[in-house]
Formats: sequence, C-alpha cells, structure tokens
Amino acid sequence: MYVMVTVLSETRRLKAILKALSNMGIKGSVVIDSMGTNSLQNSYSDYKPFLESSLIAISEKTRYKKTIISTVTDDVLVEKAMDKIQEILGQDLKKPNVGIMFTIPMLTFVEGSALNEYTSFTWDE
Amino acid sequence: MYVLFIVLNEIEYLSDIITKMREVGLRGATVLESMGSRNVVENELQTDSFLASIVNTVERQSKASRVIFSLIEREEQVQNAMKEIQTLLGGDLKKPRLGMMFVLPVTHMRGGELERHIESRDRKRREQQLHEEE
Repeated sequence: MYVMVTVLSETRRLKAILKALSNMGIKGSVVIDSMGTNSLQNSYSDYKPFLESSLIAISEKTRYKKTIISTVTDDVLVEKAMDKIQEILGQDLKKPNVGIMFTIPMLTFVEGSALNEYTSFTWDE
Repeated sequence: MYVLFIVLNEIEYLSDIITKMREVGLRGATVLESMGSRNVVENELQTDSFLASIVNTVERQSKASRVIFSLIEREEQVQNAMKEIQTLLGGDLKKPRLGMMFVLPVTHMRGGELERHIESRDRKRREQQLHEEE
C-alpha cells in the first residue's frame, strides 16, 4: 500500500488524470492547490491566507499547481499509474516545470470501508 | 530517497528557507497553504462563513502556515538540511507555533529537478569512466 503524490503544473490535464486513475481502480484522490518554488519567487508571498490566493488566481501572475494525493495498493499499479500519467501529460517529466511524482509506503490504512465507499459512490444514509 | 516535510508557522521565513534549501543542495520544492489545528480551534474557523474569513484575514486574526515538501536523495543530505533549517528558524523548533519537520521514505520517484540532476550526474560519471578506460 502506497501513498502516491503527484505535483502537476499542467492543471488542464487534471481531469483526464483523475479519470484515468479512477479507471485504473485508484479512486478517491485528494487534490490540493500548491506552488512550486520557482513561481513562489514572484508571488505576493505575504501572510494573507485567503486574499493572497484569490489575488494570485485573478492576476495569474503566478501559476498555481495541483498536488494529487492518492492511495495505491501495489507496486505494479504504481508503475502503471505513473506510466499513464506521463502518457497523459505527453511530455518528459524531467523537463523543468512539468511536475514530479513519488510514493511513500503506508504501514496501516483504513481497511475496506473507506476504500469501498469511494469505489461505489453510494450515499444511502 | 526521502521526502522532507516542513510545516512552517512563521511565513516570514519562507523565502529564506527555500534559499537555504537550494544552498544545501536540495532540488526543487513544493509549497502548500495550510493551517495549524490550534489556529482552527481558536478562531472557530469551522463555523466561519466566506465573508467572515475575509474579515479575519484582513484583520490578521487567523494566521496561515505553509507546508513545504522536497525530495532528497541521501540521508546525510536530510540531516544537513534539517540542521540548517533549524538553525535558520532560531535553533529550537520545540517552541510552540514555530513549526515542525519530518522525513518519510520514498519508494518510487519520477520527474522533477531531482531526476534531471541524478541523470546528468550519472551521465557524467559514465563519460568519465569511458574516458579513464581509454
């Protein structure tokens, strides 16, 4: 079981990537706004949590990236998912400002229920 | 391969830390906006409306923090980076509200500045070997 973290500059591809991941059985990913250190240099990096991000979003002076956090069950799937993401991005991840992916081993996780909940998407309460 | 997470409550230090990370040889980092749990409880942010959060922000009531993560290749680099960052933050991270750091092992990695760095280093090494053999 792994946690896969993908930092993505090409945010237009986000939907396609999430769709591909979910087709592969990696469901219920979490997406966060993030920022690379390059774009940080020319940002309003003041201390204002909400306003700052709105300003950035409006002005598009700095480009926000997306960080996707997902849980992946095994090695093979990790490689498959990474290949797929690379394919969707259509460019070499080694180029600057494209993105980065890595996995962290997970010792324990909420077995079954949480994953199933994401997989089936039923809201029967 | 490791990934170093730094939770930083004093955002003033952000650019200093990133500069320092470059100095000690870390390749690239990603920054997330975050918020400490104490901050959430004290400001009752879970009940805040959209407008209230703007007011809070303007009045500097709530304080943002940042999470920085960066991939590191070797353990001694991890130790070195942690030591340098701690010194930069005043030497004692145990004080409340300053921040924290932790390191996790990484099993797979692709892309980013680090992979470029590793690849170009390997290439140089191979060329050197060929050169020596000649």
